[in-house]
Amino acid sequence: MEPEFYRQLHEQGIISDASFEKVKHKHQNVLFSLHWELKTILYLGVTLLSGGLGTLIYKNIDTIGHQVILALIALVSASSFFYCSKHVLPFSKDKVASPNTSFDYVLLLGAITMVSFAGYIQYQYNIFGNNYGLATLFPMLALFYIAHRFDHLGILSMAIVSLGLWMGLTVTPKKLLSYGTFNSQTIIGTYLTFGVLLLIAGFLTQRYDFKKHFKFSYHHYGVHVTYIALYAGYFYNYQKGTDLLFLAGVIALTAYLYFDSLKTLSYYFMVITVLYGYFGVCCLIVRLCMLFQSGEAFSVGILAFLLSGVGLILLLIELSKKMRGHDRF
Amino acid sequence: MIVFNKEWIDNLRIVKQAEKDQRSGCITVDELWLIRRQYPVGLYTPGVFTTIGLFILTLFTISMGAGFVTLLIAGAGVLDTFVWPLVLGILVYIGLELLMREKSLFHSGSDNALLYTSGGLVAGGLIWLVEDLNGHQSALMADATILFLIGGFLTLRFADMLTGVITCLSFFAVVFFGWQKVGSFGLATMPFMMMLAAGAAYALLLKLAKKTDAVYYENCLLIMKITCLVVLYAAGNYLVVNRLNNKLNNLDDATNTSIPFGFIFWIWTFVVPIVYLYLGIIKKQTMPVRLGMLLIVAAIYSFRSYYHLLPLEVMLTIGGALLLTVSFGIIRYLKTPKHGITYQEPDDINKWDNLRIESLIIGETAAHAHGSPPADDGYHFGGGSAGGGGSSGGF
Repeated sequence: MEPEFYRQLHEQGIISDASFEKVKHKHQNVLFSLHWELKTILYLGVTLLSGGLGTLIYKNIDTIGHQVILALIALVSASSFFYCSKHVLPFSKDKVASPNTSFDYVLLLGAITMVSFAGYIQYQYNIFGNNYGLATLFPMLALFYIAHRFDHLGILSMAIVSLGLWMGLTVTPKKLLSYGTFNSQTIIGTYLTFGVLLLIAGFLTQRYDFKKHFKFSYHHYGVHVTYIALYAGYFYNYQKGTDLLFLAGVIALTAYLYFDSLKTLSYYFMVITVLYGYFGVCCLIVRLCMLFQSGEAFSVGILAFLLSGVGLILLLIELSKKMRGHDRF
Repeated sequence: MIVFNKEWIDNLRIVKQAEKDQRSGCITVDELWLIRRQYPVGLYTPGVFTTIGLFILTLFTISMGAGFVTLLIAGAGVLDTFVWPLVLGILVYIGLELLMREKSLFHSGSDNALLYTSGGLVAGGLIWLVEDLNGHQSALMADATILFLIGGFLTLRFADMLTGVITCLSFFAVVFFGWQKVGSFGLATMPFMMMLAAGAAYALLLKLAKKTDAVYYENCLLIMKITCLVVLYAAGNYLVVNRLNNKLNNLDDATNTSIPFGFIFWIWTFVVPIVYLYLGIIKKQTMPVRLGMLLIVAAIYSFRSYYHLLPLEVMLTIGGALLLTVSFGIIRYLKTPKHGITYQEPDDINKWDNLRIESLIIGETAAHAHGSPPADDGYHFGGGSAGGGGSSGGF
């Protein structure tokens, strides 16, 4: 049965006969889809099986031998890439659709096994000696190449993470926050460089219309890393004179991202920019209150928090209304 | 009773349905546009990120506001009594009502934050009062009753999912603590009492869902039904019953005391999830199917807490192979839809696609399988599987 309102709309002439028939047909033949459920079981099966087999092999490494395992991994990786290069569509600057549903997963399998192969061979045989930079450089370059050639966002994410690794970091936002290793000027500097590099990469993809849809991934990592590095720099250099420089960086970044996300209609970047930027405002308020060191200043500070908070909420509501109708995210 | 403009909610439902039908190509974009004009929606319903952002900001602002007011009257001596949270909670509630009248927010993050704080503060104040009256001892039954009443009121007024769940859970808590007072007979029959309560609550919800106003509480009713079904299962799950029994009788978990009629609970542990799954498929409802799948995992976990038949990795391998075969088999079987069931993707395309969630999960998890910084010795080999595990959790 089609929903009742369609009948009314049809009588009023808002819905055409053809559309009404289609709606009727659709709602008469509703199929119950088990797509996500079955896909979840499939994923779970792959995960359990690979986990179980991995552990089994690990426990029996003495009888199997490293060469056999390495050869196995290499075989899996090579055959995945062989399959993908046979099926891949010609390269284009724009988004290229994957030729079939399993393509993306096969490619992912190939990339993951390739990286494990590189890691394994370095760990077991020390191919590059203690030159870890070189050991991570090659997989990273390969990943960037694969991401662009085969147009795969997941592998791009892997490549970005390994770029960070190569620069000597662990960069996924979760780890960034949970390890909290911001105890030296060099680390903060590296993070900052890395973040800015990603932001520039995101900017360039859009500017030169080269794989524009990659911008989201570059910006996602870039925004978090840069903001966190800037704030870390601010607190690390607190009261040393250079701290305000970092705060100025926050303001500049916020301004850039604000206009950029308005232009690209991205709710996600809008919200995180507003939140990170507001944290900067809070830092400023606290700083101003500290200058006076009195009970009144404290109350005024809280009042300032309150009012700025209300203002920001209203701003966010207005912004999202403004962007409404274009993009739900 | 409900705070929202009912006509707008009706229109919102219509527009959402039309959007779905437009995506699946039944109606044209122009027609969708006309429908949007025909059924205007004045409610403010932001997307998921804006909602999260508004929620965080509002919580922050409320605490600042509460802090400011508290500072102002700090000398008055009411701060260390139950009156203060009560007054604050009522103030926040008044703010919420005013805001809803002005801005027509609809589960937008801001209203949720105000709702939870006001509910929490009022409930906290009342519980404080009860404990004062009770000679500074906790009165669990009274506390649960307070939560139930406040949660019930707020749910009816705001159709909020979280308050709905709290209402359900506090109802079960009332039954639990009430039956506990009966004594040793109450303790012994507790699982059955809880099953009865959950079943009755579920039946009541089904009855409520038939009322005309129920459409405004759609999500609310769904999540409350899920809560009831989970409690119904947990009430008879061997692990839960055993552990709870040990706790109530001050026994040690390690001694592994067996419970009388244990086999009944083992049957319940394994049969109920399958029943949910089966009924879901028969009635073509997604919720019981997913719930059944999750509870099967819970059943296996319960079983493994008592019996270790095989080493973990062998279990994983066999289980993984089994799952793969089964899912492959079903997918193949459903290649052409049978009994009105299909493997085709539902045509209301997954909104999350826009976010490229999957790619981020890969970035987060596959990072382990990587390079070789000297620090994580011996970790490399497990790397691949650890990454996979994480991705399924995120899924």
